[in-house]
Amino acid sequence: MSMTVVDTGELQDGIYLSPAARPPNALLILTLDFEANVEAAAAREALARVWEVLIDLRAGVVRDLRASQEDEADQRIEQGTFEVLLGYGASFFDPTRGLTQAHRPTRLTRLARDREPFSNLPWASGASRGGEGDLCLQLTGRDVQATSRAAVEIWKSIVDGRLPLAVTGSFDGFARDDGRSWIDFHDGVSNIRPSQRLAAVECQGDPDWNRGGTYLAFLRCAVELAAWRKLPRSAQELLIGRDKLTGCALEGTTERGGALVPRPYPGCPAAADASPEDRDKFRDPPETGDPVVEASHIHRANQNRTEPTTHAGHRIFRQGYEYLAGFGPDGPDLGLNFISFQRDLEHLWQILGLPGWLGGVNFAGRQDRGQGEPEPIDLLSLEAAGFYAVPSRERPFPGSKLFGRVGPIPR
Amino acid sequence: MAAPGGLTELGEKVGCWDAYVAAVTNSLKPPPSLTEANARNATELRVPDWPAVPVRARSCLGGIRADRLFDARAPCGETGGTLFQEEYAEWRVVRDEEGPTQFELTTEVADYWLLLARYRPERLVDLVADFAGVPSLDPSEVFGEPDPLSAEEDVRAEAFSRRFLGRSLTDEEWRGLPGSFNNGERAITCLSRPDNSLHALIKLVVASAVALQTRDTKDGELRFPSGSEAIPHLAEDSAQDCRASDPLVAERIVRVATEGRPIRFDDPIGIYVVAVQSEDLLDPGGQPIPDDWVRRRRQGPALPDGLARHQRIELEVPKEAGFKLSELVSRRTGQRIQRGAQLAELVELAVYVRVGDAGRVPVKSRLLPRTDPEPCDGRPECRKLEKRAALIEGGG
Repeated sequence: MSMTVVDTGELQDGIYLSPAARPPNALLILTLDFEANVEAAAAREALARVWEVLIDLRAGVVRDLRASQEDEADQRIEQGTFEVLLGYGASFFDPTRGLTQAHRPTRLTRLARDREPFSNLPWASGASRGGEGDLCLQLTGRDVQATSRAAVEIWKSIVDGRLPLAVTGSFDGFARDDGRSWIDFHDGVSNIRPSQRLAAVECQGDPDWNRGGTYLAFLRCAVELAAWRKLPRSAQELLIGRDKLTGCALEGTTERGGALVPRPYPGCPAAADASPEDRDKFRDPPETGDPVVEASHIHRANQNRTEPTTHAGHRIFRQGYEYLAGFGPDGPDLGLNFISFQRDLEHLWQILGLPGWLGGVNFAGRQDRGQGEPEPIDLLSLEAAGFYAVPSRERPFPGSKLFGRVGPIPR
Repeated sequence: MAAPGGLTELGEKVGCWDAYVAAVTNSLKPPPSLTEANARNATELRVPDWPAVPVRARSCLGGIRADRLFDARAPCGETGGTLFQEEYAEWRVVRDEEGPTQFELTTEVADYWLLLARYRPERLVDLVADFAGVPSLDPSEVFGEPDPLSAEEDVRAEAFSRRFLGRSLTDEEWRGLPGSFNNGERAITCLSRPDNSLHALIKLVVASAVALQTRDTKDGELRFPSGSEAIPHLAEDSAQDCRASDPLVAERIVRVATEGRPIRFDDPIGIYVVAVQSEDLLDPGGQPIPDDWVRRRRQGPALPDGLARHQRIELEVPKEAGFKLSELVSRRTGQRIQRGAQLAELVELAVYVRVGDAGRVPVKSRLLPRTDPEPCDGRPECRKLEKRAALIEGGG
C-alpha cells in the first residue's frame, strides 16, 4: 500500500497523523504554571521567550554555546532533533487569574485530585496525581537526549530571564520499535484511515479561537503487568480482541471443552495484495455479533465503528508512549502515557463513560460474563493526568492571541 | 410485534401498533435487505447509540448559546424543545429561582401515543396526570374536547395531535403549538417534532439499507461511506446530516446493507435510553449521586435479552438530600447544573437492530462520487437555526 500524504491542517508539530511520520522515539511532557498574580502581558512575554529558545534549539542554537567573544564562533548542535507542542490547561482560563478573557472550553476541565477523576479509572496507589498545569509542553524527540536537553534549556531560560513561570512536572516515555505495549499486544497504531485522521483531531470551532487546533488528553496509566501475566494467553486475547502474536482481530469464539477459544479472522494477516475491505477488516475490524468479542478492549473503545466525521462515532487519535519508572518490591513500575488528540474532549469522556464502551469496566470484559469468559481485569490506574487545549500554529507562538485583552469573545 | 418498550397498556389493541409499523414500513418500499430479514436469519444485535443533546445546534450556534436556547421559550410560544431538540429526545426542565429542580426527558414516539388516544384514552389521561405530577386530570383538559372519552376514535386522535403535537392529522393547513402538557409547561409527554417520530426513524433506516461505497478522496481506496457522504444519496428528506443520530444510523445501516446482511428492527421497535451516566453528576461533596435518583420509566416487563428499553427518565434530587439539582456539578465540565443540555449530554439513546450474516442478500454496491462534506457549522441549515434562535433572542 502506498503511503498516503496526510493533511495536517494548521495543527502544531508533534501530532503524527501520517503513517509515514512515525512518532519519534522519546517523549517528555512538561507541565508549567505561571506565577500567581502575574499580569497577562508578562505571562505572554515569558512564554514568548521560552518558545523562542525552543525554536532556536530546534535550529541548532544552544543559548549557552553562543559566542561571547569576537574571535569565537557559535557552537551549534544538530538541527531538528525534537518537536514541541504547546497546550493550555483549565487553570489558564481561570477568570480570577486574568491571563485571558477567553472562556475555558466547556470540557477542558480540571480533573479531580481528591477523588477519582473517572468512574472507571482510579488514581494509582501513591500516584503523584500531577499532570495538570497552566501549560504543557509535549516534547517528542529522536532520543532521550534531545527531549531532555530541550527541557533543561526551558528551565535555563526561565531562571536566566527570571520569568514568572515554573516547571511543575515532567513525565517521560518512549516508543517501542516493535509496535507493542507492555502487555505484549500490538498497540500504538491508529486504526483510523489516514485520510480521515485530521477530521478526528481538528477542532471546527466553538470556541472560535481553537478552530484548526485540537485538544490533548494525557493519561499516565500504570499497568498491572504482574496480574496481566497471570492470565492465560486465550484470556488475554479475549480481553484485547486480537491474537497475541499476529495482531489479527478476533472474528468470534469457539467453545471447546467448556473453554472459549479465540478465533481470529481467517486469512489474517492480510497478504500484500489483499483487497481494501480485507485490510480494513484486520486494521479496523467490524462488529462481530459475538458478545465476548464485543466486550473486548478494541471493540469497547470503538463501539460504533464509524468514520471520524460522524459525531456519535467518538473517534480519537491516539499517540501513546510507554514508560518504565523503576523497580519496587513488587516489580517494575511501568505503564503507558496515553496521549490522544481529539476535536472535542466530549469524545474521550463518552468512550470512558458509556456502558458498552469502557464505562463500568476498567479495561475490558463483562461483569455478567458467561462460562469460559475471562473476568474483567482492573489493569489500569492513573499516575497523572491532564487535559489541554492545543491551538493551531501561530506567531509568535500558538495561543499567543489568548493572552489578556486580545482573546476573542467566545460564542 | 410488541409496543415500544414492551409496554402492555394497549392490550389486545397492540395489533394496531403492529399494523401501523408494517404500514409505515411498506409505504416506504423497503429494499431486499429489510424484506428478506426475519427472526431466524437476522439475530446479531447492533446498537447504534448517540447522545440526546442536539449537536447540530451546538455546532451552528455555539455550545453556550445553544444550551441556553434548548430550555428557553419564545414570546410566540415556541419552545427550545420544538425548535432545537432533534435527537429523538425532547426534555423539559423545571426551575426555581436558583436553577433546575427537575429534569424529564422522553423518547416516546407520538405514533404510539396517537394509538393510546384512539384506544386507551383513560390510560392516556392517567399517564399525563402522572407526568404533570397531579393526582388526576379531567379528560377534557387533556384533549381540549368537551367529552373526549365518548368521542369517536378519530376525533380523539385529532384532538391529541393538535393539543400535544401542534399539528393536525386531517387538516394540512392547520398549524399550532404543542399545549402545556407537552411543551414543558406542565409536563412533557411524548416526542412532538415530526422528525423525532417513528415514521422518521423507519424512513431513515429504509433509505439507508442500500449498498453504497465510495473511493477515499486521499488514497483512492474503496471504503464504506461516512454518514455525511451517504446522506445526500439517500432518498430525499430521509436523513438530516449533522445531527448525532441520523448520520450515525445511516452510516451503520449502509455498512451492513453493503455487506449483504439482512436487517430488521429488534422487536419491540423504539428509541431507548441505554445509559444515563449519573456517575458524572457530583453532589456538593464531590461524590457521584446515587444512580437511583434517575428514575427510568416507560418500559414494560424486561425481556430475556436484558436490554434496556426505557423511554423516559426523570431526575430530581430527593428532599432529604438537603440540596437541589442546581447544586450538582458535572464531572465533565466542572460546572454546576444550570441547563437541561448538561444532563441530556449524559443520556445515551439507541435503536436496536438485528442483522444476519454478510453475503446473505445479493447486493451490488453503488459507487458514490468522491466528496468532501463541508463542516457542519458552515452549512445552510445553520441559517435556519439562526432564524429559530431569533424567535427567542429577538423576542419575536
